[in-house]
Amino acid sequence: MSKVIGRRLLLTIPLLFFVSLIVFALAQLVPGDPAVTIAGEQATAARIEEIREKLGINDSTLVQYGRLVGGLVQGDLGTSLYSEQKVTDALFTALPITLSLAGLALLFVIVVGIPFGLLAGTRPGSLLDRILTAVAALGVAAPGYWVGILLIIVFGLGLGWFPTGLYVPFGESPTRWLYHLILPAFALSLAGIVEVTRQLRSSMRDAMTADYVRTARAKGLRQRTVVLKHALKNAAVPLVTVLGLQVNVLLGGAIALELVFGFSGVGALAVRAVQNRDIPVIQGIVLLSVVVVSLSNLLVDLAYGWLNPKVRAQ
Amino acid sequence: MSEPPLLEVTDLDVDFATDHGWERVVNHVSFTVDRGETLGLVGESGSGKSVTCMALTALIPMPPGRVAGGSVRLEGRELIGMPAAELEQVRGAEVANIFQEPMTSLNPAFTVGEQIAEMVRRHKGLSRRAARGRAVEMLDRVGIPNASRRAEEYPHQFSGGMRQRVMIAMAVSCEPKLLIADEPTTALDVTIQAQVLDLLRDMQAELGMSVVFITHDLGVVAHSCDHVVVLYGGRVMEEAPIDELYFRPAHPYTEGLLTAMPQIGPRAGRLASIPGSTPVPSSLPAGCVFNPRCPYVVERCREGEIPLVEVGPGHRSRCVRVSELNLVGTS
Amino acid sequence: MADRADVAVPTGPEVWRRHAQDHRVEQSLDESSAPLSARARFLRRFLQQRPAIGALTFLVLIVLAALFAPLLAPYDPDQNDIRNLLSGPSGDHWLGTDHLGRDTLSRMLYGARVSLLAAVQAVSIALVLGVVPGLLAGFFGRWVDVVIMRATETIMTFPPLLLAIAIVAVRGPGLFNAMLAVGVVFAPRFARLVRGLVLGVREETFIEASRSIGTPAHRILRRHVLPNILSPLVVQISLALGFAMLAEAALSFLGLGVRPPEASWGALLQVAYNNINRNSFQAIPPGVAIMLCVLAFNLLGDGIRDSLGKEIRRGT
Repeated sequence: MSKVIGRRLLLTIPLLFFVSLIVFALAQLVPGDPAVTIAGEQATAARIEEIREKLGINDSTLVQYGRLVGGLVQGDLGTSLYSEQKVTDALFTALPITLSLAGLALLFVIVVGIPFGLLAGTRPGSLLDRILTAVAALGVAAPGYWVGILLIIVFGLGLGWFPTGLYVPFGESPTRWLYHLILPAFALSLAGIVEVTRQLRSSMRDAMTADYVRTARAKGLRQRTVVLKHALKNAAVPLVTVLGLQVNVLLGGAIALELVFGFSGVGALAVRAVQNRDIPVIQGIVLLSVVVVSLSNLLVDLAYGWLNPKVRAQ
Repeated sequence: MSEPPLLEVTDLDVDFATDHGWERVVNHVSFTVDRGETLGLVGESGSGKSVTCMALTALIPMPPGRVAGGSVRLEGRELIGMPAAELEQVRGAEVANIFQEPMTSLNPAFTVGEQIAEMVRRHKGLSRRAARGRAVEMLDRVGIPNASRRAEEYPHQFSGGMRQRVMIAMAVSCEPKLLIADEPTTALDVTIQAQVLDLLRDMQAELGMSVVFITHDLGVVAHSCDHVVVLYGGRVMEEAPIDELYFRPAHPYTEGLLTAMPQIGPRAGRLASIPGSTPVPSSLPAGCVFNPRCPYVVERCREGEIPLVEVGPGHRSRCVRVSELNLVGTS
Repeated sequence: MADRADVAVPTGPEVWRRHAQDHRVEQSLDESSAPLSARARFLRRFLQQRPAIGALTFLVLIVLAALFAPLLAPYDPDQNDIRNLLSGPSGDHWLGTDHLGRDTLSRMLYGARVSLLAAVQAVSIALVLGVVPGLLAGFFGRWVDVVIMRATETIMTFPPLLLAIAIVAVRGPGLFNAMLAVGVVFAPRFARLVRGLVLGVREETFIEASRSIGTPAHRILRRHVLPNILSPLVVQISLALGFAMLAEAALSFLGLGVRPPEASWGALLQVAYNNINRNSFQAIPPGVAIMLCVLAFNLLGDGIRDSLGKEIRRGT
């Protein structure tokens, strides 16, 4: 177990190096004189100088990169160009909102996608299988934020069953937190549910025709045991891969949904930062997303080890 | 005398669904297995021998497969149409299977000990601990050294021969009355084959069970069977006690198989395999299904359904020319 | 022919040996009919894929609608009509009007141009940025492969939309920058696909043979490798077009893509969302259009993949 973690962390080092390069390059790639471009043509000389100072572009490239890495090591991501707020503070205010949204969506993906996938995969060609396949094709093509808008129209504006916005912190009221999150989390989870259903359907179909499943049936095990123990544990390997990728997808999808539902999470922060060309904030968000994705990859690796003894042995 | 045989298969028909409708893969197959007896089910791949045996306990996938007719009686109880829950109690406990591919027949995600223990728990109602103990005991009995340690290992840590021993340990762990061994040695090295065959015979003697031995290799049959049923194109072509079949084959197909068998001694020479390939169920020839590959074919062979006729005590053949041909067996 | 029981029929191993010989001769005389060309086989299989045919027909119609938007659109897409703000569907305005009274149907037709063109642009950029490194990585292997693959892995670590947003942040909002960003995000997927395919093709002996007689690398790539990986690449392009369409819509919806008054379907969705309290219907047409187009690209890609021979399909 610790070996897996160790190897993964070791692999993270070159990754972090590449990521730091990319993050650094973001600031370097701003066309023209970055300070002027960012401040706008009409900005005063003092304002341009202030941005120049904040970006630290008076120094040589190497010094700038050194400062970025130095800051990263100390957990310092710099200061927003538009407010005096530290980037880390802005991120930590926004993060719980995004994590709540993405986390609940992931839960939906798991508790809805897995049963659907099992049902479709163990009864290939059945009516249920065909309905799920058709719905899945539509679900993967529908943008999550549009689904969110439709949910707002139907369940918010039309029926009035759910609120159409406003995030309530978990600490304030867990029930209202959930109540306000249900619509956006469901909209966010739809694509993931579809992906999980499809993947599990196909890997369960393969597993159900595998020789070891025939053996399990020949042993006189209950159908339930054959499906949920013998077939599922093997079919779960590709499923875990898909779930890992979903973390990525959910973080991306959360951006637009936060805007639709008026949540001031990381996504909303990102959109505002892009409109203002607030480069330090963008850099911070990109880094944060890499950390979250790396953590989820680590979890995926650990799950592989448990599911597949061959991987563990290596 | 009134006691029924252990297994009685009568006129079994098995179909598989294809794009062109149902295709008959097993056609009116009948045989019986007595207590303690070993029956050889012989044929090339595609002859329907595996499907026949998997249909006995409804192990063929349904759909696309279906049992279209016939009866399978285990100690007089009808297995065809038995409710699924009841059939689960028969599988493993009374009728156990060993499959051809030891590499893929064990679940890669569980330890071999767990895979044996879960079966014992299911049928014998043992506790988790006791079942684990039973698993180790069985592994030891099939000759796996360090059984208690090996029980904690996964299938990929075993060699092919060792995996097949695990399969045997698992199959006999609930002391079944009938063991169906589907080409249990085909995927193994020649030296390992003999060991596994010996092990199977030992276990059979120890537990007094009957065995249905599926193989394409008549050499293996000679080693271990009392009776032989030869299948071709989903039909029984010949059925005989082992010596009869070897010395007095009554069907050209059997003769062909015997000729194709590797021989030791003065007659050893180049093998003459049966030319052509087994027919697909959708395009079976009229008359005798073997006629396109038969060197003795005449006009009569190409028309009508050929009956299975008695040619000696316990010896039947499905050949119209059986009385005029003087087929050569082994000496 | 004598066929009576008292006439001894020859039997035994000798019969079988002769029988086998006869059979071999027969078989060699029995030549199988000439196989269909690969293209004909593909077409025949493809024509049997009903969803893919439907998808292709739909996409052709959408492209035609976009091309002939000036002829088809009942109104000027930018023409305001203050008496008709946010109206529902009617005889005059089939899909209603937006908050400035502009005809939604006309804006949808013109929006199709922007959305389709943007998708094509993004995928072209992704192809340029992805195929070449993929070819190099697969063909040369060793450190070239390691560096290129590490780079693609790094890019793929980022949530796609977030990375695109970051690139837009640097380059500034606008449709071309947005599509550049989408292209960069998708390029690693092409690179990895192409690399895998090249590795597969490289194993085959004919390339080894070309190499050993000293054909230059670029010639091998063009003559032997590219034709073999084209089909799986087409499948991926179709799927990528769907992805690019979704990404463009998302970026424009966030206000980071196309600039007003020009509008893509995503931008129309943004306008509709801003006025959702007064007229909900406006959110339906652009969303449905995006969904159907993406669905069509996906179905088309699946259909092409399923029509390719198994031997080629392996690559995807």
